[in-house]
Amino acid sequence: MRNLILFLTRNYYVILFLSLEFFSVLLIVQNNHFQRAHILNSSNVISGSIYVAYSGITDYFGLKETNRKLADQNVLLRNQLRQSFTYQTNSSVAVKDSAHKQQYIYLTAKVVNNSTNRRKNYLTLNVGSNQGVKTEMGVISSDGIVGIVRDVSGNFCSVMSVLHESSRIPVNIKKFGENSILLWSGEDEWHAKMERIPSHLQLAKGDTIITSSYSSIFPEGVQVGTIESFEKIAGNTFYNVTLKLSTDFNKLSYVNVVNNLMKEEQTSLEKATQHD
Amino acid sequence: MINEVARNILRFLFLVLFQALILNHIELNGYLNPFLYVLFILMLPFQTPDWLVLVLAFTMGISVDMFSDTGGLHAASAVFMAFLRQPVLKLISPRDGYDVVQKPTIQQFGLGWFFSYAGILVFIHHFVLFFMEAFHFTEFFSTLFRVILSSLFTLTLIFISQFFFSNSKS
Repeated sequence: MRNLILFLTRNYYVILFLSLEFFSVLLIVQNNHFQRAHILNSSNVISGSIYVAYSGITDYFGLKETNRKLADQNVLLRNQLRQSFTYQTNSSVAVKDSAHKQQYIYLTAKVVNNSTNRRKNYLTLNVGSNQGVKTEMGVISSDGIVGIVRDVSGNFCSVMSVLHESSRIPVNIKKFGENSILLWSGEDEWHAKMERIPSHLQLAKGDTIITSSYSSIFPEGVQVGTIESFEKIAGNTFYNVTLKLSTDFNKLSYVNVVNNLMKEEQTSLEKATQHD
Repeated sequence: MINEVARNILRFLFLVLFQALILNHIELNGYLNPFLYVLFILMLPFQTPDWLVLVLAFTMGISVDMFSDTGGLHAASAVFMAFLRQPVLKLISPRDGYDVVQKPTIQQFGLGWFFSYAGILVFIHHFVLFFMEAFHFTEFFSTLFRVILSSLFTLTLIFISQFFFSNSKS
């Protein structure tokens, strides 16, 4: 026992070093776990509120751009209002529409922190469980997809950006309906890659990529980007496709969180099938 | 002494906020990310006990991690750098050693000494940081390139801050 204490006191410096290192690495490993309660992320109270104050200042620099975008979206939405359609039906025919059931609900959120320069990029939004946000909800902007909610606290949530090395998002080439997976290779914040596009397709530069119906997180048909370049890999039947993302991750300020009302039903059914 | 503690606490707070709110948003080409917060560990006085240097470095790293969602990445590299601070100081010590009242600054030890002191430690820190972030050696040279460029960027900032914020009389 005495020897042990002597050993500890003599080597306390190295032991302290090793235990601090061990603890840090533990935190890193834990951080890599998708879906997990974290204390030390930017959705906690201290850093969250500092970021809110800070983005209160920096928001002013982007006001012009934000205004333009909101105006654009207003126009788009106004075009879909009932007032902008003329009634041509006979007043005697009343149709009760039960064919449409709402599946997606959107929630507006402000981006209070954002990164694009790492391998694993995250955003922090100013909505949380108090506003009904849960993990694994999709986040989109008026330009395209943004990411998936990973952690939720009372009033903030932390979003795994599309610009994350482990992000996998089911997408679809609009022209052909060909399904694929979107990956981010970590090069820059404007480009991403697609997996396993068969080489018999006649791809063209500028083909639109949208989210596929295979995803239970994003609604089908949300803009993702356009094909920028593609090349056939020698000796392989697949294309190597690089696409330009339609979202400008450096300029995000307001985004929408997508709540899929039927997601639980779908995933529980899928899980039940897998158990067989 | 009290004055010295207060000054270090202020420096700590300033560097964390500066790192989180300004430097984390700087990037050029995805290669250059400056991490000026290591200046705090570099500037700790010589008479700081070894264990305290480790604990302070850990606190610093965790604070930066909290703002950048990186788990314990910065904590791990800051602690590693703090661990090697003493050996590096010994390695480049001047002929008559260090005086306890002295501080590791350009004014007291000259440009060359400070350059090797800051240069070695910043490189170690960035090396650990970027390779832990990448977590594999498959893109060894591209990561190494990032390490070198970012180290140079951080060093430049450290030198600028030295000339701006140091009082020549101490």
